[in-house]
Amino acid sequence: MIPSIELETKGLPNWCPGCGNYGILTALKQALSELDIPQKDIVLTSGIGCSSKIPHWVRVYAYNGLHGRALPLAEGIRLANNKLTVITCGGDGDGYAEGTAHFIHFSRYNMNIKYFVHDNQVYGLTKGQVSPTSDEGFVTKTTPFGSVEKALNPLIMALSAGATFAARGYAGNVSQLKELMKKAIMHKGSALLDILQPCVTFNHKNTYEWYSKRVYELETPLKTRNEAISKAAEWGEKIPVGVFFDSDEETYEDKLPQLKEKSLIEEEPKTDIKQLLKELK
Amino acid sequence: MLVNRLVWKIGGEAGYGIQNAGMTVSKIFKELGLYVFATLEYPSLIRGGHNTFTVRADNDRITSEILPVDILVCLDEATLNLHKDELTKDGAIIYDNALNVKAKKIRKDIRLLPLPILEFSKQYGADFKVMMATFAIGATIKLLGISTQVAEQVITMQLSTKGQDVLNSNFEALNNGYNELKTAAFKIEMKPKKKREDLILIDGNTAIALGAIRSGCKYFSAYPMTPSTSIMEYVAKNQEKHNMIMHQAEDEISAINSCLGASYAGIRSMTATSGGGFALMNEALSLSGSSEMPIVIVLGQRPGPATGLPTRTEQGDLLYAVHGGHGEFPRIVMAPGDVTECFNMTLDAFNMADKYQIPIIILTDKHIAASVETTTEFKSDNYKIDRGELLLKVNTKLRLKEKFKRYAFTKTGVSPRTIPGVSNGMQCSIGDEHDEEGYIIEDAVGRKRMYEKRANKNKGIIKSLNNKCIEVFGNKNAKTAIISWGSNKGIILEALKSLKNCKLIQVKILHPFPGAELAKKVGRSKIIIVEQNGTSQLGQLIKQNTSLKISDYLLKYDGRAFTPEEIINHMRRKK
Repeated sequence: MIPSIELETKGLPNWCPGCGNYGILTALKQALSELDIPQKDIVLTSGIGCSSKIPHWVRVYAYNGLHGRALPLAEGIRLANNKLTVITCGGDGDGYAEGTAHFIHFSRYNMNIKYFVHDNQVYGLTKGQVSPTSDEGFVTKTTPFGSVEKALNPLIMALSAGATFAARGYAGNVSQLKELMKKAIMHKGSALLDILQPCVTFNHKNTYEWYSKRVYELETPLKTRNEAISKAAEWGEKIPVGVFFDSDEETYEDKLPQLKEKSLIEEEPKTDIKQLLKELK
Repeated sequence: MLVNRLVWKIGGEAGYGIQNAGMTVSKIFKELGLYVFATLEYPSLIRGGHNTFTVRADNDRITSEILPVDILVCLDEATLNLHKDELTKDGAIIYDNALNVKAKKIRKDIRLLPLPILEFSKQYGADFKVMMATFAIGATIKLLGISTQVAEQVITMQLSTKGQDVLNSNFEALNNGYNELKTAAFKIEMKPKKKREDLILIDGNTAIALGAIRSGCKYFSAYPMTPSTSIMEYVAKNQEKHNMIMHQAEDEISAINSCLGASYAGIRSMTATSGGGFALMNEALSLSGSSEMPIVIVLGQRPGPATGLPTRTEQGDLLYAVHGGHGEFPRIVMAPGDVTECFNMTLDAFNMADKYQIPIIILTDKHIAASVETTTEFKSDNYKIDRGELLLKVNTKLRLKEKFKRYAFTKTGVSPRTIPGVSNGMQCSIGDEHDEEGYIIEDAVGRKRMYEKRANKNKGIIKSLNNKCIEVFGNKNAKTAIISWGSNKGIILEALKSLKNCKLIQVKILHPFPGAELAKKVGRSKIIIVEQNGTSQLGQLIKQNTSLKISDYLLKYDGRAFTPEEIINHMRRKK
């Protein structure tokens, strides 16, 4: 339990009034405050975009890095100290365009990292361009005649690449989102939580109203990866939210003998090279 | 008769075990108590093509390959065609007796030694190519008066993990090669000396990897790229016993960012690449500058632009290492000139990276990365790991009245750093311009102050490096100074043995450029720049940073390292 006051920082968020990010920030702070993880052991990494500014308004350890590169930062942190709870936040441009390669490999590595993607289906900080998750036909400044591209489905990508946890949340339902965040954080392995996030300034299609009419809650995770992938394909009149897949598998860290006893940071460096030099004689 | 001075070259297609054969011969000479310098030349492919491995041995320390070759071992016809004219007077060619040498116009003085290499090796089925090399080694040692026991001992060490069957077939091939060569008299004889127990046989990449392990580096992430790949392979092999993690990332961008993450969490981290991978790393290099995150990057150069000549050598990325990454931030670029410097500079690099919280680039090239030499065992008993202003202990608690300031303004520009796990040490490391606590700022005054805080580190860096950046070799009173850097050092030292009126001035730290120190060391000497690129990038740095006049340049950009002969010839023509 972390008293919520301890999670406050000196600044106030500068997102647009009504932005879906507020709901996500509230859910994140509530989730962290309710879980039994020492504040000093939580690390948040982020990239670039409206959502990636979130570390400035949650008081935990943070590394706000480059556009699309927040997951590799998290991977280095996790391998250096596998006692930490490592969460990465970013947007759809950050994770599904600039950082696509890292997203796929993160899913495959199964390192114990939680990836929360604030998915508003549009580019916000650069002021309204098309995103990989924009619906086909979506009109933006860079697609004035409507997007000719198919929308990417992040859950299917994560699941087909091997993620051991995949969920979808909705920024308009904070209490449900908080529970999903807690489940993702408590999951052992790579977890994707794609969060439907209305952008009140640049996305006039996928609004609170649009989402509220469509989202419905999945009661339990699907039993198999394939079933979860099929379910994740559902998008249109009805959009399922909740945990699609949750599987307990050995993590990347579990497989490294170096991490069996202590984390790398706790262990004294083994710098004696006598034996290695002997091999060269 | 000459004793213990030899150049031996083996050539064949990729897949013939040329490199292993070269290493076996290098180790045989080392067992005899001799010094060795060996180089591998190969094209960028796995099968076919033309590979050579050249081993030079001597009684005294040698620092470069030389021409001509005394013994040429041809496992294919291409080796004969390409290298027959590199032989010394009365040199020898060992080759397969099926090869028709009559049409090759080989000089009369050269001893032709046809042997049933292929015929013998056929019995080993799929392994015949590798057996050809072992057979040829047998003939080589016979010619040089070396006993089979020494060779068997080396082969046993090399193949210790391959099982007794493999070992036995190699012994058989070795002894057959030895016995098939009927004539033993040759102009050179290798006489065993007392084996020097303090000598090691090592290449630049292994020396860097060893340096990283000695420095307490615990995280290494990279994407394979010639000529740096063997660093990650060496770390991977030894990671478990040295409590490190080697993570082969999905690309260079991931590799360097994960290194920054590991560094943020408090452990020393390193990555290694070549020009193309370094290009992908540039944005994160700049993030290291902004977030003040220590990192050591090995940039092993090869000829560009783009893919260039993947397996050859060049020094075309010097200015790129100095300027790469957007924006302005302090960094150090260092260039080792031999394997010992590869090791020692890596030790320094980690301490400097931590002390100043900056990126350090160790600039090598294929010639130093992959050439193998004997050198005195590395000494590092006095090395102390200095983590600088890092508050390292996890699960401790900071006692502060206010919030921890990761980027606190200090006299030196270096601020204390906490790591996750420390209570009350919460901080945001960041690539945006920021205030002392790491929060994003936009104001002009704050930006100027934070820029100057970072730039201020340069004063300390320059002071730490003072008088350690330049080294002078050869006749100190000589009026002509060859100024060079990196792997050219050994080649020029070899040339200096014949150029008594020249000295070598080696620039070891290329950034911040040691202009004053260089000017002092040059004095009134005439300057000739020797480097492996077409635009004299070192010359450009000298002009930018000093008022020294450069009289002449010797530049090379054909993808092959200089030979001492090229340098000697150039200097003699000048007179």
